[in-house]
Amino acid sequence: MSADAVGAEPDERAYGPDDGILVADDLRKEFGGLTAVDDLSFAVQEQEILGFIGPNGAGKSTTFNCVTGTYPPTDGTVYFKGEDVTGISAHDMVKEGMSRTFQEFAPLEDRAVVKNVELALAPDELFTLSGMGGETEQLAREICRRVGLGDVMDQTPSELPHAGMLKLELARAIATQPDVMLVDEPFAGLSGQEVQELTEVMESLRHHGMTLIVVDHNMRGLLNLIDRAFVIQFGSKIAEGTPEEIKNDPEVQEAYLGGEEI
Amino acid sequence: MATETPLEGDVGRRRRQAVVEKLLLRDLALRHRLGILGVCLLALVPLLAQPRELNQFTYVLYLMMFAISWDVVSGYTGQLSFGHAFFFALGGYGTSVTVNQHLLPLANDLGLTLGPVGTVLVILGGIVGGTLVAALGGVLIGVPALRLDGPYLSLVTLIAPLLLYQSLIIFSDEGSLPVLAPGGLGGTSGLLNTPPSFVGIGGLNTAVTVDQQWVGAVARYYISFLALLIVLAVTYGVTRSAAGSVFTAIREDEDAVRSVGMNPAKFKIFAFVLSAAIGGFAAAVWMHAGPNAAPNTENLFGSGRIDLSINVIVIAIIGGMGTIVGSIVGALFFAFADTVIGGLDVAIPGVELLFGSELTIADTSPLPTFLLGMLALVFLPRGVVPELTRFGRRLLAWRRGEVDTLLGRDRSPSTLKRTAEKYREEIEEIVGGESR
Repeated sequence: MSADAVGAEPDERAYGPDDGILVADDLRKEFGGLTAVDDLSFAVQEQEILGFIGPNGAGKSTTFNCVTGTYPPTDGTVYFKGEDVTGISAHDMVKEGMSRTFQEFAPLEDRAVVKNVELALAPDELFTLSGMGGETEQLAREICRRVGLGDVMDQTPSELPHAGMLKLELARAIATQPDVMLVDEPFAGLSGQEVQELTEVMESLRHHGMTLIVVDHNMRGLLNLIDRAFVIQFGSKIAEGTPEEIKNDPEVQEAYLGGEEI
Repeated sequence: MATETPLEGDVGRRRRQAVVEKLLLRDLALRHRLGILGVCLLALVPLLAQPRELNQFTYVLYLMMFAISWDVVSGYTGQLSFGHAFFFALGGYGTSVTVNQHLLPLANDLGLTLGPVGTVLVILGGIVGGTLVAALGGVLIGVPALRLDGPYLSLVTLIAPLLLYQSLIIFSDEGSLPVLAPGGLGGTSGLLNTPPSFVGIGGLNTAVTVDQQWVGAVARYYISFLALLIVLAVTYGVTRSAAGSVFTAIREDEDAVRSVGMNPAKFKIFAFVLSAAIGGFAAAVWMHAGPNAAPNTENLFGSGRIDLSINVIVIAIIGGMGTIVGSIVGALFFAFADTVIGGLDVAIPGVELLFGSELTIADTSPLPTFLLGMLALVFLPRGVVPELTRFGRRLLAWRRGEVDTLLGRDRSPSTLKRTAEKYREEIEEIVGGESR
């Protein structure tokens, strides 16, 4: 792992598979004539919490849809744990150890919260004894308690408040036991207290060895959480650095409508 | 996570122990005890019934298996099939052709004289063949199911049995389908040479000959019952394992399954193949042990080409979709209603005045049975088994003193409703509705 990948400005050099646990090199995605991601390169280091920031429509979701295998990139390479994983399917990516939460997600309404989490613990096998000894349920309950769903895990998801749904989505991603977790807008519509709770959960995950990428369209709420921010606009990187550096970056302020507080 | 989890330690041993404990039937919930009691009662039916009634009831066992076959794929994964007779016909014709046109001629060519044991082996070989053919049919339907949703898939499942039906006519004559079925498929009237049965009167076409009608009926009942137990064991094992919860998750939301690292395609194909194999197996056993065991279209497709396919859906829904047990209860209800209605030879008043000829209620079959199915859909959308389970749970809770539970309403929608809702969404997606 090269030290200069963190916080430095490796603009013109190509990234290699060993530059971080997750590396995107010249990632490009075109939809018809529209370029949503324009030769984007970045590297995520093990156990860091990276903020991936950009205004609405900047290409954040497209980038991560390419990285996590929702659809293949037009061009470029994705390395995960030193291996080329470009274009593998979404469920294989989860098995490789990278999971994500979705901004718009639908929990399984037909079963309790804890059963939603338990599904993520089931193996991708047709014949299995998994769950027979009750250990997956035990683990699912533990995960629910950790993310703060301890009191409501036997309810159905439709009974959960908005914050509860976000926590459930987080719990489900955690249950796939990932090494890298991509969290999409975890704080949208949460109160200060709830933001604090989730921040603590994510910090504890990092403490246990997980790498996190938090995607959001602004940095409010992220400042206490992230080590480093990566700002994109129109599918290209415009800034990279610590939260303080980003805040004072003129180009970033420009991107947010001429200096709107970010 | 780096902290200690319940998945550490000797998990394999704990799991095996749990399986053993389940098999030893310790600490059973009330509904499971009732279920086992029900199976025992089914085993005792021959003590009560006359041979003719027993024959009729033996057919109900096959209805149960057919409905279970539908439930595995449509009730659990929500991939609605409207033509499950496709698999039944493949199984039924598969075993008949395997036995009569391949195995028996082969034995003849080799100069073997088959005793009872030999014939039983040939029959078993035929059942395996029929099951495999049906499973292959499951792949045939399962693969399009990966790309097609809702109504498109339904259309495929609806057309498949019709194509098969037509093929039976096209390849009806001897030599029209070389190698696969040298003797032909016999057209709509079916194969004239019925395959040998396990037990029967008259030695020519049976493995074991008995001299009394009722002995044969009882023996055939227990062979059919054994087949039902096999089907139950297999489907229970799969649907109650973690794979079963993946099935139901596919019914709810395929993306959710994908996002936790599982390949929905694999589980969908597996569900189709399992369902097809079960349906084919049941039909194959029927051809050798069932009442009216003749491989013809009337038996395997139902009287109007799709009747049997519709019947199994009605049965599974009345009993409760996505439960397996529901299919058994549903088949009992269905057969009971059918028998009762079939016995009502009371003229419907007024019809004679209008049309000049008498019409009894029995003549209108299968109208009343389907009507009953529709009533069940409206008033018992969850199906009999889930409704009873819920009622029983509330009753127990009430006895424990949790007063509210008896009055409280469960607002979670039924499986049927959820499946129908998803189906509607898929149609709206196709016709470009603004609903999403």
